[in-house]
Amino acid sequence: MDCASAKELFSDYLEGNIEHNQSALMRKHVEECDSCKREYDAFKQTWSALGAVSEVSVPVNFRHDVLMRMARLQHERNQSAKHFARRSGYTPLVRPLFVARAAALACAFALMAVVVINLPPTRDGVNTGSFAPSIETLTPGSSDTPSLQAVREQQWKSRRLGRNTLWVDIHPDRRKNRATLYRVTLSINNYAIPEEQITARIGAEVYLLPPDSFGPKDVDRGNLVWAGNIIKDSPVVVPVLVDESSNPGDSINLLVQWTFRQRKFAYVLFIPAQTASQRSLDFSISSTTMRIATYGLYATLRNIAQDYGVPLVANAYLEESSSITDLGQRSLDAVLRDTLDPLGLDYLYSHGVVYVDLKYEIPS
Amino acid sequence: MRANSRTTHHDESALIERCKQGDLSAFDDLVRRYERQVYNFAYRMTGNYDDANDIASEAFIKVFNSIHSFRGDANFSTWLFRIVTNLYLDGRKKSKAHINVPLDEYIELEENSVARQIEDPSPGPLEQVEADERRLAIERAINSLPDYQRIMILLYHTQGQSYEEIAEIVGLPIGTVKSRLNRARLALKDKLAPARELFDL
Repeated sequence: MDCASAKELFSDYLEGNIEHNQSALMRKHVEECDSCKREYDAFKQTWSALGAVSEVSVPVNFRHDVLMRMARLQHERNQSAKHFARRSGYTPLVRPLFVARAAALACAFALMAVVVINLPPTRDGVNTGSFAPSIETLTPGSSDTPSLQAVREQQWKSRRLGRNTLWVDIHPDRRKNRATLYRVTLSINNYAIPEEQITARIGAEVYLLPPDSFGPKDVDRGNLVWAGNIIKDSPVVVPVLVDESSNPGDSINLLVQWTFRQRKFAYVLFIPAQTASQRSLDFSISSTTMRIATYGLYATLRNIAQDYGVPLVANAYLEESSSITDLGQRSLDAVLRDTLDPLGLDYLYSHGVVYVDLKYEIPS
Repeated sequence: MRANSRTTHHDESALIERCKQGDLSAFDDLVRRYERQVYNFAYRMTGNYDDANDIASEAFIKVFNSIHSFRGDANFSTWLFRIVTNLYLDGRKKSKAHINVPLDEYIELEENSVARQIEDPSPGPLEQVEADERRLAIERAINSLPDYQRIMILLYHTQGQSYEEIAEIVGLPIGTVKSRLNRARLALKDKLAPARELFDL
């Protein structure tokens, strides 16, 4: 048997899908021919390595999320055939149980227009713009002058990619023995995204959980009130009706979860809009909380340097297996040009990880 | 990873029938059965957890939404893998130039974590490092293959699909599948060559 024929049989041999005499001929050739022996050994090692590719675990919420989506799709299909009574400012986005009650209560008192509060971004070391769920309580006032009480406003900054949660205790007004309608307003505020290459998608869910829940991990015990995507400049108002009979207990727990997703390997960057009272804003890709695959970060940094046109100051570190090298604080261009480019991508890729803190100042 | 007994097939047919009636608990059981395979396949295809999550969940939704078009006598897992594969390939056509990113990506979250890789059980630190590097080397090599080659390697070697099933999943003749798979294996062998000493048995 010649080399070419022997090599053609490697796969069949390792699959066990080979005739007996072919197998014998191949083995004989491989034993006798040094170069084919090396080839075969390498091929066999590759085959074994392929059989040992590790398995990753499915995220704990995966099945739940899929089922919730499916349930919602089914529900929407069922509901689209029905007719809703619409009252001013009230868009039914909740399950039939709430709809029936809300419709009854809507007759009892008028619903006020919702004041959507756009909260300005606050400053801190890790600010990626803001995604602000805010919760206002509407309780009935007198019949001719309904009052709006903002019971609680919570601003929550989305600091990291992935899932974030806002956990709120609600105390329904038991004394007056009334049902209370909450509006949860979900809005994205004050950010700029270079949309050609970097996209963000914010999916959010609102759950009502029983009083003895401890935290987001009890989400399975709650009712999904709403789920969907939030788009910039389109705040979503989710009415949440809480009353004694459907939610007995001293307090209810409201859970808002939202997720920023990283699209491909571009990084989501939020640059807060410039406001008159602020001269400089910090933001950073916090390298202590997120490790980015080196190649992806490098490509992203290149894009940022080209696209933003604002001077970015970078503090970069190169972490290798046994040391961390401070690459210094300079302009991003300089870091790329003087440090990362000369090292070369292959070196970075195989030797370590680069962490980068970025800051920028709005020119005065 | 595969279960292929006759009783399982019978159970599965019943589940599929119930799904056709809109039974969500049957859908739940189907997801349970296949989520590990689908998620892992999507993860190795795309190279990151987020896209894997997207594609895996899209695939299950699509399965349920189009379950009426699934013929009972066909192979469900082949159909499912076909949907997952096409979701990935269709998405790639729309997106821009693909940057291959090594799979040591790790995202830390406040509350729940995203999937973590299962570590090799190894005795000492040196062995641990070597095992990690071996694992990384093959994963990087797979990730650097062109789409079709990577998909076929994954289907054959990590999902245990046969040549016939792969041919049906990717929609290519079986002869083409065999030759491309072999080319892919040879390409991987070459890519692993610099790291060969890690693999010496």
